[in-house]
Parts: sequence; C-alpha cells; structure tokens
Amino acid sequence: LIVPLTKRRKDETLYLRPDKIESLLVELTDQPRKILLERARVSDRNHPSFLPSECLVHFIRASRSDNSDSWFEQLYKILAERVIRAVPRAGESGNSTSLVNENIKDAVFYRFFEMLAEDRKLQADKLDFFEIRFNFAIQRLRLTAQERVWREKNRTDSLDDECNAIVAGNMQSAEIDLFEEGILSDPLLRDRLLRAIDDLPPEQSRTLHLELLGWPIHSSNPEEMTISTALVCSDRSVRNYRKRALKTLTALFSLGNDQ
Amino acid sequence: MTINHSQSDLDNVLDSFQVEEVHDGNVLAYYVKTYPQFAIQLIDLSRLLATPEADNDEPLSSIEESRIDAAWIIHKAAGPESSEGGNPLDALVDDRSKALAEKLGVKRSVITCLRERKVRPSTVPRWIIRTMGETLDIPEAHVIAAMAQQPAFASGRSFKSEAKPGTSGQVSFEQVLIDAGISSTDRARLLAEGT
Repeated sequence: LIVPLTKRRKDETLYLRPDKIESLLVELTDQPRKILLERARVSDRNHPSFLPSECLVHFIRASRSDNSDSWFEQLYKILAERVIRAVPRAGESGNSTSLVNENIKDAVFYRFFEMLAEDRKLQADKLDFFEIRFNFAIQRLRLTAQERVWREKNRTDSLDDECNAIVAGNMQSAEIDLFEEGILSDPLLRDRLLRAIDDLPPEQSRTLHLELLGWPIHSSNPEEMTISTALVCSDRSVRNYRKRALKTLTALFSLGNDQ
Repeated sequence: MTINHSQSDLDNVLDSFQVEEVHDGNVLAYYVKTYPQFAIQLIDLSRLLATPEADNDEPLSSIEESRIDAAWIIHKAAGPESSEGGNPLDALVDDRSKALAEKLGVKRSVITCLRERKVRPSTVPRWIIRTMGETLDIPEAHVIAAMAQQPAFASGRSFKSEAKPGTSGQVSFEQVLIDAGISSTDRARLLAEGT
C-alpha cells in the first residue's frame, strides 16, 4: 500500500499523485533495494528504467524510520544530485548576474534539504508537491529564493542597469522577432529562447513571458487582462522592457549563430 | 507587493495554480484577475513553470559534491536517533574566534555572525569555508552543514534583512560585511573566490 499524500486543497480534498507515479510506486515497492538503486542511477529521462524524481522523494520519505543503511545514503545523494541539476547552472561568466543565479540555485538546494530534514523529524505535507510534480515544486522553491536574492541584490545595485550596459554594446543587430522567425516551432531554439528569457532582469522576463502567452501590452477592453495592467505600469514602460529584452536576446542569438 | 497579504493566502493561491493541468495565458489571466495582489508571484511562477527543465550532463563540481555531503550530514543529524550534539561553529569563541578573525582580516563581529549561523553558506566564498574548516579542524562539508543549521539566538545585533526567522532568515556574507562596516576594498578581497 502506498501511503497517500496528506496535503489538502482549500476545499479539503486531498491532493493526489499522478496515476503514472502512483502505479510506478506500487510496482517498485516490492522490488529489492538494489534494483531501486540501479534504476535511480539512470539519469537519461528517455531510458525505460529511468525513475522519476517524484518516486525518489517518496521512497526517501517513506524510509524515514529505516534510513541508516548505505543504500538510503546512496538514494539520498542521487536525489541531491537531481536537485542540483534541476536548477540551471549560473554560467561561466562570473559576473553579478551569474552570482545571483548561483545564490538562487544554492538557496533552492538548501531549502529542499531543510524541508526533507524537517520531514524526517515530523512528517508533514510540505513535500507532497514533490511527489506530484517534482520539477514544478523545484520551480516553486526558485520563486521564493529568487525573490529574496533579487531583493538583496537590489540593495546595492540594479540588475537592469547592468543589463543595459551589455545591451548598449550590441545595438547594431536587427531586432529578433519572437513570433516570425520560426523559433517557437523549433524545440531546441524554443528551449534556448525560454532559458534566455529566464535569465533576463525580472520586468523584462515577465514582459516577454506574457507576450509569449498571448497577452496584449494594453487593450481598450477593460475586461481584457494586459501586461501593463498585471505589472501595474504604463504601456510605455512595458514597451521599454520589451525593447531592452529583445535587444539582449538579439545579441545572444546573434552570438550563438556566429559560433 | 504582498505586504498586506498573508503568506498562507499567497501559498494557497500558488498551490492551486501550480497543480493546474494547463498553465496557458487564459489560466494565468484568470488567476491574476482573481488575485491581483499576487500578480507578480503568479506571473513569475508561470514563467518558471514554462522554463524547460535544466538538462546538463556535466560532472558535478567539487563544490556541488561538498554540498551534497553537507546535506547528507544535516539529514543524518535530523534523525530521531541522533543525539542533540552542539554545532561545530559554537567552538568559534575566544582564541579560535580571534585566530579566525586575524586569518581573514575581519572584525570579531563577523566571526560572531558566522558562529551564530546568521550567514547563508552559499554566499560564503570557498576559501573562507576552507579557512573555517582548518580553524575548527573539520572538513569543509561539515562547515557548510553547520552553517546551514538553524541560526542561533541573536544577541542584540540587528540586521537589515527583511526575511523571516529560520534558515531563510540568514543574510548574505556580503551583507554581514557591509553591516560590520568592512571597507569596500576589504569586501572585494574577502568575496573573491580562490584567494
């Protein structure tokens, strides 16, 4: 029997694991630990033996009173590696933006394992989402971590200013067009684009994300949600964010194409 | 801003959004319209959920390996069977505190912050972690693990952090240096990697 999750929605209904995870847990529960470890070590997501991280979280939580053996330590460290790999690396540049990213990455790592340690002491529902959709739950930790790190960063300087300095040196290229260059139809280019948007300063990143979701910058229809309404700023500001973001992306993609 | 809204309200809204089957523009618009006070957090979460999963097969760095070891040490210590031993950083008093302050070229108040787990370990350069380990005669991973434990009770010092108590209430090493009045030149020296 797989112990059900305990986290409840606002309407008191229990959150459930996806069927795929639930059935995999049933299949794995009676397997020897050696097999479990072998499968946990498979890192290729497309390999038939690949074990989703949701399952690793479950087995580590389920073994809270039986985790002194070396197999548990190995399982734990495999999960730790997955957590590290689930958050993008800071990059090689060593500039302040990459340091900010490194701090976010570390904060996610430490928070996750702090929650896991708390869960070992006193079973709670904080980790339930990691058994439902691990990557989304990690991104949620990123959200919390980046808010704090950005706030600290903004005490001493401005990410936007730094980004503008980078952009200023690359203004000669024609501006990238998110929708007309076939980028979104190419999975590799699309992933690259989304990661690049993820690295932009917050306002610019939000603006492009919302544009990709099809939100207008402004609208004469007061019922329609717009980027400027959501970000509580003028449509002129939104256009500025957009312009600066596209210049950065244009420079990045131009560099990439040259290589 | 969410200053006037409780964290649990925000958490509930983000929980609901997170488990939606689809995270398209319409779903996000519905949430932002319904909870305009959490618009920024919803948009940021939506963006993060849309970001492709990181996919790197590069070997872990030695720092990352140390962090994994540190996490394991913390986890073992969290077990009900473990004794409530003291934190190794508690030994950073008297001569050891003075020696470390001299080695690093910082005021004793900075060492006190390190001892009281006021500093987020991820913000401390590796060479300082190494020096702390040498001073305490413990491996680097143990230093990181010790720093990541719950902060000790403050002894009257105040910090500019707006974060909540708990490990998340730790501040960056740079912030501690600024608060201690360390000059920008010394800060640059201390924050440099590979010193």
